[in-house]
Amino acid sequence: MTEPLLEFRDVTIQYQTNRGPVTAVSGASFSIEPGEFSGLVGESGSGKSTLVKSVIGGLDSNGEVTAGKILYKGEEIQDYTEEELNEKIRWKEISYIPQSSMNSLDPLQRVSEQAVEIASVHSDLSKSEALERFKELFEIVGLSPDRIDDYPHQFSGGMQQRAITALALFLDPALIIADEPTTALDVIMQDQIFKYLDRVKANTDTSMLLITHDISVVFESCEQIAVLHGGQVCESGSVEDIYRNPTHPYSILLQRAFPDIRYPDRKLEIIEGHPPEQLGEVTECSFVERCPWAVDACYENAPPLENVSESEQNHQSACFRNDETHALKGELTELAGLTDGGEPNE
Amino acid sequence: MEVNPMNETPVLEIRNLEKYFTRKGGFLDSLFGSSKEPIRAVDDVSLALDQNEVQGIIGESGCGKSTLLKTVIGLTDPTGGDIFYKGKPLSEFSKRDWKEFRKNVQIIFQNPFESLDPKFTVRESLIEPLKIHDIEYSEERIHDALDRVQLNPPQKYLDRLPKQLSGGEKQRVSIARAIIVEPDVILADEPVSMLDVSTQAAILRLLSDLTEELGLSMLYISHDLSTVSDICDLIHVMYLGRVVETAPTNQILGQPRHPYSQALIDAIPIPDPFSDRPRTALDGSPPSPEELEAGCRFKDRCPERMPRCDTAPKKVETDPDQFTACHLHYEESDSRPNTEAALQGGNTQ
Repeated sequence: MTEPLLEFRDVTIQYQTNRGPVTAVSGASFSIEPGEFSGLVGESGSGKSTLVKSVIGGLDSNGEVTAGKILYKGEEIQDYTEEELNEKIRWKEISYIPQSSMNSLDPLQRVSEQAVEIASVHSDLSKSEALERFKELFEIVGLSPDRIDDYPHQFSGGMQQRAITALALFLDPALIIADEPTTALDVIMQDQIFKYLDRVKANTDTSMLLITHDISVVFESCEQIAVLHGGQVCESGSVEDIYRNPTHPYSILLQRAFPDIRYPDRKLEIIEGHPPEQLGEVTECSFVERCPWAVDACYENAPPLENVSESEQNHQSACFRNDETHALKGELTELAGLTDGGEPNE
Repeated sequence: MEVNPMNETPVLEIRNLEKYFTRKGGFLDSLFGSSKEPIRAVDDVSLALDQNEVQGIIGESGCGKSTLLKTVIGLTDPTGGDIFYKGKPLSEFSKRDWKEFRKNVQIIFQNPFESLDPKFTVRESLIEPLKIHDIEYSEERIHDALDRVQLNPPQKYLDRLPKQLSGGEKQRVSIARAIIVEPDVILADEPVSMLDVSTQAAILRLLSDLTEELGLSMLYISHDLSTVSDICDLIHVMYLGRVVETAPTNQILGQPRHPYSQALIDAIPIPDPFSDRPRTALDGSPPSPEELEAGCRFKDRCPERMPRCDTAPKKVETDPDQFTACHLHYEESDSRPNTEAALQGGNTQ
C-alpha cells in the first residue's frame, strides 16, 4: 500500500475555555489516499470543522492539537508554525474551501488579481503564466475564461463558489479540503457544483476531503467515508461497504435518517438528543447517551476503531458491540430499498 | 383551479395574487419618459387551503415564495388579486379583523436561532403571544403547549434561555409559541432547513401530528422536495413568481410533468453509492426577475424548449388532480396566444 496523502493518527484537539479544556476531537484516526475523494460526515457539534482546520493551522487561538499526529505525505505537520504552513503547505499542497466561501473572495479585488497574488506568494509563476493557468481552471469549473477580470459581486452565488474552487485548484494542490461547499445552495445549484467537481476528479490528480452533514452527497461523490460523532470517528471505510453494511449504531441510524426521493413513504429514523460537549478528557463512547444499544462497557471506555470483517478492507467501526450489530439492526423497522448487508438494490 | 367539490369555504384562499415591485428609473429615464418594467415577484398565484390540509410551496431561492408568505400575512400589500381568510378578503379587513387574523394565522420561521428573543426564557416567549392577544395566562396552558411539542417535562425547559436549547428544541419552542394561541392556520417558512438531519424528521413528524390533532391547516414553504412527503398533501412548484405545477405530493414526486419539477427532483442527491443518478442537465441559475421576457419563465433553461414557449403556457390538468403550466401538455389547436379558451379543468390563472 502506498503512503497515505493525509493521515490523522489518534488526534485529540482541545479548546481552552474558562470552564476548563473542551475536547472537540478525541482520538480520531483516518486517512486519505492520493487521488481519492473522501467524505467526513457529522452533524453540527461533531468536531468535523475543528478537525480539518487543524490541518491548515486554522484553529481558533484557544484550540490546539493536544495529542496524536497529523501526517502529510509522511511528515508531521500538527506543530508547524505559520511560516512553515505558508511556505510548505497552504495553496500548493493543501487548499481549503471554507464553509461560507461566498464571503471569502476579496470584494475590492478582481478575481484575477487575487489569483496573481496567490501565485506571487506561493509559486514561481510569472503574472502572464498565472493568468493563463487561471483561465484554464475557469474552463474546468464551468466559468467563461474571459470573466477572470470580474469583481466578485459580478458573479452569482454559484459562480463565486466556482471561482473559489478555481483558486483552490490554482497551484495544483495534492489535496483540496472543502467544508460544506454546497450547504447554503439550492439543489440544482448544488448538483451543478458537484458536476464540475466530478470533472475536477476526472481531469486532475487532486484528492478531496469533503466535510458535510449530508451523507447523500458523500455516497454519490466520494469513494471513502468517515463518520464523526462527538469528536470520535465512529466508522470509516468505502462508501459501498458503509452503505451496505453500516456497523456503528450511529451510522446505522444516520443512514436511516436521510430521505431517499425514490422511497417517499419511508418512515425516517430520528436520533434523539445531540452530540455532547465534552469537558476534559473523554473516557466513554460519545454516542452512549443517544445509543439505543448502549451497555455498561460503553460508559467505561472509548471503544477503539476495529476492522469489521476480514472481507471488507479498511472498513472499521468503533463500537464494543460490533459483532452484534447485525442482530441489533433487526430490531429496527424495515426500510424500503435498504438491504441489510446484502446485495445493493437496483 | 383546484375546485373544492364540497363547496366549503377554504380557510385561506389566494386568488390571482400579484406582487409587483415598481422600480424607479434613473434621471435620464424620467427625462425621456421611459419607465422600467416592474419586478414580478409573485405573478398570478392562486391556491385554496382547506381545513386540516397541508400544502407545500416549493421553489429555489428567488422564486417568490417568501414574498408570497409576506403578502399572505399582510406584511406587504398585494398589487393585484386578493387573499381571503374564511371567505373574507384581507383588503376589506377592519382593525378588529386584522387582530383576529394575526391570532389565527401563526408563522414558524426558518431560523430558530434568530426568531426567539435571546433574553426571553421559554416561559416568557410563550406568555408574550398570550399577552398580545389578551388571552388569559395559565400555567396549565403553557405546560400543555410544551407538552404538545414534546418538550418533556415542561418544568425542565420553562426557565431556560434560547442559548441553553439545541436547534431542534428551539424550533419546538417556536412551534409551541405558534400553537399556544390556538390558530387555524400555520405558515411554516423552511422550518427544518437549519436543523441537523437527525432532528429534521422529528420536527416534520411533530408538525404533521399537530395539524392532525388540532385540525390545523398549514402552508409549508421549502426549497427541498425530499422532505415534503411526510407532511404535505399537495405541492405547488414555483418558479420565478409563478406556480408551474400543482399536484398531490406522491404524484408530483413520481411523475412530475413540468420540466422544472422534473429538474428539481432529478437534482436531489440519493443516499446510495450504487444509484448512478446523472447530474443535472440544467446550466446556470434562474434569470434575474428584472429581465424577464414574455412567455414561459423557464424557457431559457428548459431542455424541451419550443418556439411556442414564447407565449405564456396555460395551466392544464395533465393527470387527475395534477395541473401543469407547460406547452408540452396540450395541443396547439388554439395557437392564438392568450386565448383563455375552454380547456376542460384547465386553470389559466
